[in-house]
Formats: sequence, C-alpha cells, structure tokens
Amino acid sequence: MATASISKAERTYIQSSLQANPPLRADGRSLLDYRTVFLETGVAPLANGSARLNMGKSPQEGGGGTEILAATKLEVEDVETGGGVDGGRLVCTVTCSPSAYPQLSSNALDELQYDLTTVLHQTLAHPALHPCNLGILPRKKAWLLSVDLVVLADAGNALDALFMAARAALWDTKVPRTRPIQYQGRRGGGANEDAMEAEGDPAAGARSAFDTRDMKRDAADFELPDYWDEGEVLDGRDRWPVCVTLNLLPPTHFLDATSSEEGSAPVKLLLTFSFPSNQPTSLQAMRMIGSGELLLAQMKSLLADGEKYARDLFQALEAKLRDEDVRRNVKARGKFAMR
Amino acid sequence: MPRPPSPSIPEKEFLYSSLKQSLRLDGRNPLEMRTPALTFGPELGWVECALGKTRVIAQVDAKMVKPPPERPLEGIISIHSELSPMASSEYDSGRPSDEEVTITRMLDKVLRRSDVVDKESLCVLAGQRVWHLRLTIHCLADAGNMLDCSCLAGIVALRHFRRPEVEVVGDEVTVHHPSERAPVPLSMHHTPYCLTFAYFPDATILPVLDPSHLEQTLSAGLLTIALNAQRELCVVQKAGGVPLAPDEILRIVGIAVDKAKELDKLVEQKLKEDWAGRTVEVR
Amino acid sequence: MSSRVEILNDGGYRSDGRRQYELRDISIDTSQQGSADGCCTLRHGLTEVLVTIFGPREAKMRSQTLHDRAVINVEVNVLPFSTGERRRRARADRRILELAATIKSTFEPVVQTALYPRSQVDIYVQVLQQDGGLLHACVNATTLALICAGIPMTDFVCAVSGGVHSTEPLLDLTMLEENDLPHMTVAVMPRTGKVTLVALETRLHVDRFAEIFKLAGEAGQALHKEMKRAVRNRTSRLVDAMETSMKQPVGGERDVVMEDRMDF
Repeated sequence: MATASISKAERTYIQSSLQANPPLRADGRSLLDYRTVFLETGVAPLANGSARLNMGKSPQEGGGGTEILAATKLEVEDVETGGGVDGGRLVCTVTCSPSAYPQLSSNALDELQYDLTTVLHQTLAHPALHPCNLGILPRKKAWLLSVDLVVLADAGNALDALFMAARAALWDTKVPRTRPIQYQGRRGGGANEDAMEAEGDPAAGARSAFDTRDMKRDAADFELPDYWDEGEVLDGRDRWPVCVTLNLLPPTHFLDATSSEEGSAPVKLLLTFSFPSNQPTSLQAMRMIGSGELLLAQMKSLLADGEKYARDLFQALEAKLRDEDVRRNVKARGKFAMR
Repeated sequence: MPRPPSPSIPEKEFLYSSLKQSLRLDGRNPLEMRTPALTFGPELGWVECALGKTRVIAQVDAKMVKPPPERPLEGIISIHSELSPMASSEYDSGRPSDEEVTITRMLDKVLRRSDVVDKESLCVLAGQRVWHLRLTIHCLADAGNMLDCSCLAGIVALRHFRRPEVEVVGDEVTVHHPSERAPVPLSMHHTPYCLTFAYFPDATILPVLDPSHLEQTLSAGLLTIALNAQRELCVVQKAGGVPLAPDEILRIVGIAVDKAKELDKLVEQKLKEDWAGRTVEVR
Repeated sequence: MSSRVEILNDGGYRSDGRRQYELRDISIDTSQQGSADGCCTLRHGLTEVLVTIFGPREAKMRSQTLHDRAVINVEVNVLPFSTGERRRRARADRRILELAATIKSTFEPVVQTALYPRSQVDIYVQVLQQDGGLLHACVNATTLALICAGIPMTDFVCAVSGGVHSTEPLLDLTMLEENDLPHMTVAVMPRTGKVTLVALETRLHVDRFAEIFKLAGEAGQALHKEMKRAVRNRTSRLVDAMETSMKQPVGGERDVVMEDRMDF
C-alpha cells in the first residue's frame, strides 16, 4: 500500500528498535497499543449517517493523525426497472484526497482508491452482514445504501481507521420509516369516484375509475409517515466488523503502525472480525499484504491473537458509539426543550 | 506533442509598444471587432462564421425523442463542440485543456443555461415526444477569439434553423416534410452575443475587443461578457488575470451593450437577406 | 423543486431569517491537517470547504515546471454526500474542471509565483458540504490556506456572491436562493479595491448588475476584516507557542539565573 518511501538506514533503525527488548517505538507506545482515536458521529447533516474519525491527532497542536470522513446515504431504487436488488444493497466507495498522499500521482491515487474500495466493499457488502431493513416493498422498491469514505489524511494504518469509520457511520445510519400503501379495488368508496360520477356519464365514470384501480391492485407504493425522529437504526448494527492489521516483523508483530513503521514492516496481515451478540465470532476477511511467507502454525496463533485485539477494539468502539448516541440524544433533547 | 513556440521577445515588445499608441497590428481600433462573415449553407441551421481567419461551423439538427421522466414537458438541447487539433496545434485530442473547458462551459452557459430557446415549445406530446436539438460546433481555424466566434455561430445557427411542422391528433404525431408544409422557426427568448476583451500587463494599455491570436497569447487576462440587445447580461466572466477597478468593469459592460446592439443589427440583416433568397426554394 | 418558499418577505427577511445584506455565519479553522503546509476549513453557513496547500515544492511532473515562476495546480474534489442528492462526480467532470480552472486563474496573478521558479504549489480543495456560494467559499478558503502556508501574495482575495430578488439585491445566497435568482460571484482585493473575479451565469439586466457588483465589492471588504482577524489569531497563537517552547527546554537553570539577577 502507499507509504512514504523511507531510507534503508531509517528502516533498519525502526526494525531493530521494534525488535529490541523491551521494544521501542518512536511515540512511546508498546507494540500492541493503538494511538488515541477521536470519533464523532453525525457530522454531515445531509447524510443519513456519518462519522469523522481521527487516529493519532497530537493533542497540543490539534494536527496530524489519520483522518477519515465517512457518510452513508440512502436512495430508493426500483427493483424491476432500475438497478435495485430485492432487499436492498450496499455499495461502498473509498475516495482518497490528494492531500493525504501528496507524493502520489493522480493515477497511483486512483489505483490506491480502487484497492481500498475493493477491500471495504467486498467485506461490508457480504450477504452475511446484510441488514434486513433495507427492503421497502418486496420485488418493487428497495434502499440503496451507499457508504462513502474519504481519507483526508493518512498517518499510517488507514485500513483499520477506514473500517472503524465505516462501522461508526453505519451505526449512526437511520433508515426512514416507510409505510406501504395498497390500492384496493373497493367499489363506491372514495369521494373521488363520486365526483367523477357527478361529472359525466355515471356508468362510464364508475367503470373507468374501477378499471384503473383494478389494474393497480397488485401495484403498491409507499409513503414516508411523519415521525419525530429520522427513522429506525439499521438492522444488525452490532454485526459490522472491525479490522486489525497485524504488521509482522518476525518474531513479533505490532499494531497500528504509523506511516514510517508501515514502510518498514515487510508483511501485513489484515484480519476483519465481526462480533454479533449471541452468536459466535466470525472472521469476515483476511488478507496478507506484502511479500513474505508465514508458517501455518504461526498463522493459527496470529489468528487467535488477532481475535483478541479485535475484540478489545470492538468493545472500545462499541462503548464510544453508545456514548455518542447518548451525547447526541441529550443534545437533541436539549434543543427540543429550548423550543 | 510539442507546444507551439511562444511569441518571441521582439514580437512581444512590438505589440505592446504599438498597443500603447492605440494601434493594432491588423489596423483596427482598440474597441473594434473584426466584422463577422456569416455564410449560410444550403440546409437550414448550417452556418459558417468567420472572424478574420478564425472560422467556425455550427450546425443544428433536430430529432424526436422520449423526454426524461423528470422533465416531461421540456425539449432537450445538447451542444457538442469539437476542438480538434485541426483548429490549432494547441488543442490536443487527449485530456481537455483549460482553454477547451472554458470554451465548452461558456457555450453551455450562453446557449443553453441562459434560456435562449424556449424549451417548452419543443414539447410535442407531454411525456411522450419532445424535440431534441443538437448543436454541433466545429472549430476549423483558431486565429484568436475562438469563443466569441463559436458563440456567434451557435446562436445564428439556432436562429437560422427551422424545425419541421408537426401535427398532433390525439396520440398520433405527424411530422410534415419541409416540402409539404413550411418548417417553423424555433421560439427563442433572446439572442445573446459574446464579447471578449483582452487586458494587458501594462496598465496604461487600453483593453482591446476581439483579440487576435497574438494579442490573446500576450494578454494578461480576458473579460468575457455575453449579453443581448435588450441590455440583459447573461454571462460575465473574468476569471483571474490582472485585477481591474470596479468602475473599469462597469465601463466595459457599457461598451459591450453598444457593441451587442450593433452585432444584433448585423445578424438580423444577414438572416433577413438569407431568408429572402430562400423563400423561393420552399414549395 | 420543493414548495415555493418566499425568498424575501414583506418584513425584509429572507427564508433563513437574514436581512438583505446580511452575510451568513462564517467560521474559519486553520489548524494543521496531516502533512499539509497550510490548510483551512471554512464554513459559510452550511457550505463547508477544506483547502490544503502543498508547496512550493518540486513538481511531480518535471516537464510541467516553468523556468521563471512556480506553477499553481488546483484539484477539486466534491464529496458525494455534500448535496441533498447523492451524486458521484468524476474528477474529469467539466463543472469541476471549470471550478478548478477558475480558482487557478484567480490566484495566479495574486500569488507571487516569480519567487519560486521551477516549483509547484498544489491547492487541493475538498467540498464537504454545499449550500450555495460554492465558488466564493472556495476562493476565501484558498486565500486563507495560502496565507497559512506562508506563500507570499500581493493581497487577500475576498469573494462574495450576490443576487437580485425582483429589484432587491441580496448578498451571500443559499442554495435555495441560488436556484431561483440571478446571481453572481465577485472577488475583490481589499487593499486596492480592484476586482479579480467576476462570474455571472444567469440573465440579469445591466443596471441591476452594476448595483450588486458595487454592493458585493463592499461586502468583500467586510469579509476581509473577518479573514484578517482569523489570520491574526492564528499568528498570535503561533507566537505564543513559540515563546513557551523556547522557554521550556532551557527551563530550570536560566530561570534561576534570572531570579538571582533580580535579587541584586
């Protein structure tokens, strides 16, 4: 993946300090520490759900760190004529701001964007994670849930940050409530028909009105009822996975690499776990990036370790997201009381 | 592809010093346009417009299409501009250059966004059939001020074009061949003209209207104004270039108003002449 | 379009409760972003843009450099969720290219490019949210970001949009007003009062044009004060930070010496 090129000497320096006993990192973290993560949901008022995530912002100057902006947007799609899929679908796109990768040419940037999009989309659009409230009318209308992620700055470990931001934005997503409307061919019911009868030939008027309704008996549409909140939360929001990238530097591995550390670890193992409540943990994606080899036995222990790290990350994120919900609800309630 | 050579230093100095004395290399006054030469083709809606050696062909054709569901009552107008390397070696066939983007966007703004053609009049049968007007602009040669020339060609082509008469009976649409019934002109709201002024780095040099190629390359900023003879501005564009005093811009706008009136008179007269010669042809 | 909203009511208020000549809330954040040399997040009401500057630096494509001055490269990216309707715009979209070209040519004469021959200044614009006045927000944010990056310029560039509702001029239009009214954007250089950018895209009578044009020029001056304040705040913060950091490392000893002297 795209990293700033570092010199051989620098690489050896970083590698040997990581392998030293005790291991040393430039920012004083231990091998398994994450940098401080700042997360805020509901940052884009025009989106259905959004989150801004910063990993490793320096507290004094307020700058630096990997910064991701994520937003979800819902659109109605027609299943029969449009590109919709029964039960809704999810499309995930990653855009990289050129300011995050100032050293890359625009073609390289496109490639990187494509790579990241593939990883995110393949993982998040998997049927096992599909939320069941994306359908509106069976075989007719469905929601298209598009998840857009923007990498505003990359100071290493963009993938973990992307998954976390995606999870936060999806957590924040509210699906508008819909109410299906059925046209019923009841005779002599509506005031509309009465009006038509009064107008012209009574028999013909009644018939034509009846006919159109008969045709539409099967057809149905939906409406958006007025309700106090923006809608219900996305189904299965505890299923959205978290990703941990293990940077392998035999015999050890370390987490949450900064950009220069990313450049000095030859192999990265990407593990994405989902921790649904009341169900066993599942591994959603696994990728080995970089050149190198792994023994099978190593793999097993790495997987077990990875699961542990991911669970910690998951729990921390979950707590933060619940906090955010409370914070925003309090704010909304405050606003309501003000009025 | 090699870039064309930029003007040499003597060339530059000669131009600047002559402009300082209000003299232009082609003998025009600073605020004088090259007189546009309009040639109409045998078909309706085919116009060749020449400003000096800058030449542009504009052609309009119409066909019936089904309108998009979001705008069932409006016709469609699309503008295709082709700036091939034929016009000047500066235009490359690959990624559009800034100049090309400016020209196509300006054409779009002047001829489409400013509501030149009444789109609702292009509707034949609501939601079913509308006219789709296609204006194609071919740039043949660029000897400066391609933008004004293309806009003039485009607008004259729209004025010159006549669409076949249609008859609607119930849901049935009959298109009459031009030989059966005289085709009808498009219903147009107004006729905007585009005027470009060039500014030079030296503040003592007065702006020139309708810059030639050399003047355009050596200028330090263009101010483009599109307006109609009814004193309505459609587009004013001054993107960067030398900063100008607000009063100067208002003065130029005032000049443009008079020029647009002159241009309008000329175009009307040409169209009338052409139509006078043409009525004989239509049976 | 949505239901017809009264753009200017009898009491002289606009749909968002502003007066005719009132500008929207402006908030400027010039804190560091990633590895950029200068950056600025600017909000005009609900319109929000983020501009980051890199440079002057060696150009990615050496062939594009000029021997006597720096090249300015502008890239604009409109986020897909920045508008009500989700729309993905390709980077080669003409409107975006035009916006980029406009920003580029607005700043070319203002930035003192001649000081940095054979180099490049990159201006990356991210449009985070749109609610009218996109061009003027981009121009203002770029000015501030360039100043933060320490790139020498001859003056500020302050842009304001304006429009007319029947005969009443309005300033700083929202998306709703932009859709209904003829509008234009004017950028002024406050020191000389000269105009670098005028963009009008809708039909407007010449006399009305003159009216808004003058008004927008004045509003640009007002905006200049606000922008200048933001720059001053940032600079004083930086100076404070420099002073504290200069004291700290040499901390203990020197302080004692000072105290000793005071005792004398």
